[in-house]
Amino acid sequence: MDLKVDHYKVLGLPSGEEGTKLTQTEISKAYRAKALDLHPDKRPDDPDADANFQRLKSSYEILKDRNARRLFDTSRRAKREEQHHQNRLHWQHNNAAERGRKL
Amino acid sequence: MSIAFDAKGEGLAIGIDLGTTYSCVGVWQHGRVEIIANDQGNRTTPSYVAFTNNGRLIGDAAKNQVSMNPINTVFDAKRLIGRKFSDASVRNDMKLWPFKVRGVGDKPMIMVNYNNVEKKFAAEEISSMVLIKMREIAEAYIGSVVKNAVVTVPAHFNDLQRQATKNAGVIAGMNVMRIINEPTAAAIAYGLDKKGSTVGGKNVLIFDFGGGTFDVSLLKIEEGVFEVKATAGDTHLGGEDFDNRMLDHFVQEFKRKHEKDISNNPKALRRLRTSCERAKRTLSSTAQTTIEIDSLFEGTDFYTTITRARFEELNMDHFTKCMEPVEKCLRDAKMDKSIIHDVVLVGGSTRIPKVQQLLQDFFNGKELCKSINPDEAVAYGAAVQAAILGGEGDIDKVQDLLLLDVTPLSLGIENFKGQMKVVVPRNTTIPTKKLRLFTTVESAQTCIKFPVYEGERTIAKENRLLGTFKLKGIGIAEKGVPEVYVCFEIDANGILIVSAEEKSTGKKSKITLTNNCKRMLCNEEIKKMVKEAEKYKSEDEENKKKLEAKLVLFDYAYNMKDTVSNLSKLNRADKKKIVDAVAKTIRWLDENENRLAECEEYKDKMTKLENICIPIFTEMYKGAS
Repeated sequence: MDLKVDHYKVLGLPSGEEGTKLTQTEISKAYRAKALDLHPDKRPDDPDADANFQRLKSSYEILKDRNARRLFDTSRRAKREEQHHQNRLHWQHNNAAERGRKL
Repeated sequence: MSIAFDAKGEGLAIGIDLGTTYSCVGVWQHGRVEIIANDQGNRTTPSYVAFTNNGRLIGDAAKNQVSMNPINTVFDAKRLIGRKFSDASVRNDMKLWPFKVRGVGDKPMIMVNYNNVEKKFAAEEISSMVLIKMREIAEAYIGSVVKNAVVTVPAHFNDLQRQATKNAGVIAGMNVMRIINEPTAAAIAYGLDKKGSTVGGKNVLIFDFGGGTFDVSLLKIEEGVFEVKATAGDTHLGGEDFDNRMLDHFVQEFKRKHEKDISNNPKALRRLRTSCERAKRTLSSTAQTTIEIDSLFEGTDFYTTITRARFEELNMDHFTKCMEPVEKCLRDAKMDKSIIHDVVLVGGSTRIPKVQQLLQDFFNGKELCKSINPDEAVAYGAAVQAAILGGEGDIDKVQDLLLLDVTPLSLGIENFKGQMKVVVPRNTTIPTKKLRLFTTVESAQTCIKFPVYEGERTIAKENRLLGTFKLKGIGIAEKGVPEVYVCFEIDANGILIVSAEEKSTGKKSKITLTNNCKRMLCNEEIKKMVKEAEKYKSEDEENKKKLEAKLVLFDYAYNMKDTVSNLSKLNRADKKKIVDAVAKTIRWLDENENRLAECEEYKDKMTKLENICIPIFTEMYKGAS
């Protein structure tokens, strides 16, 4: 699974913790609204329409599948926590360095 | 009056429901759909093509003469299109058809006698003739040339059947903008009818049971988006199968009653079949009906009755078979039947009370939706889609409408163990694109062959082979090194397009892909058929002129015959001259009863007759005044 893509964002939904709380109905609704906008039938002159619609579809396929979504949510959460942790480390390191200078 | 032309200035686009037994055409005009009546005033046209010595007939004209000319009247082309000659269904249908079908390289070809010449036609060509007729009906109504059309197919039609239907459009000289699924088209008709009440989303089951095919589709309709969740069906089950059962029943009854077997007499069978079709329709509103055919076979009349109960008994297995796809569809969509908001009836066979009852029982007594016209809903939806794709001006009402349809069958490749490796699972939203990585299994291998199948069985060979694709021109390398990506693309028509690209060399043009599927028409064959279709069309026009010339001569001759017999003033010699000339002309017309002569011949005979009659009459009137 491609973790670089934020499937919630592709569907025009809030991502992060907020995204994981969305219901299936909300996800389907967002998909249909986006499809109405991105479908190649609605953009006959757009050469990227096909690719953009495929991207929307693959994101929706992950989010509508309960298992795939859970996997995605967990991995994203892990990634966020890791990021958070690293930020903290970075902050602690910076703080320590600052303290060092003060001393 | 303002007529909306599409953005490309190609005139209005129409929607055609190309049915097994009947076809229907519609157009979006003045902000709504108009279902167009044909020259006979009928809003549906029989999908029949007849070949006679007086030219070609399509639609009502063809069906009306079917009992006189059963072996050269072709119907059911939809039951042949995109199928192999060796298919079991083709084998069975052939036993029932009065026209001849022969296999040419496993492609079924229809054999007819046209203008005293033995001709063979592919199913695509017969369908193209029906399409031409439907376009003509639309053109007569709209008053301008129509080029673009949306054509419908059963949702459960496979890749080959869709491709073949598209080819039929090409042969007809039309631009098929899109192939859409019949139940989805019907859903549009339902959705527009119920507009406003779909707020919050509706789960709708379309039960489309027509003359030859059966489809069930489950859709979620919300704010103009028609999302198909799942589809199932049988491309070979419909009203005609009920006619066949009844026909069989009466053939046995005739045998029992009169000790005569009519099963080898196409004319008698056809007359009985026509009566069966009528009886079937009557039995949807009455409990019993009669069949009365004078001199059906060897001078024996056939009078009998049939009850609705008997009809239901004859077809019970067909009826119960209809519930399986409903269950499958719900299962695939992961929906419980209790959350279906509406069950919509489409297609003529849904008028059968037993079918309605079984369906209603399945949905625990839920009231079925009968608000849309079962015969016209599909053409209605196709016309709406045609307007949207044609980008016509006054489509505000339907601009926010989007169809998200699915592919009905899983698509995959046979792996080295002979198993089906699914690439695109069934009920995937189309258009869709899936990539698969291929590599070589031997060093210096430059070619990879892979068979593509369609179906749900785990053993590849038990599915339908769409074709064997060949990748050629792979760069020489160690085994397993070349990386060839094969792209399986299903377009919005539900038709598979395969392309390939070699990643290791970065060159995509090097690889050539060929499909050696022999059952499909190749481009040359299609071109040839397009030319022939044009030829047949001009022949039709020529025949029409000939027929008119013939009628003019016919009228004149009989008129003269009548006139001279009532004239007393004419002298005997002149009278004899006219009577002889008229008799000669009538004799010539009788001799050529079954053949159309050239226009010139008729005109020539006409002039000769006039040259005899006119001077005599002029003389006579001069003398009288």
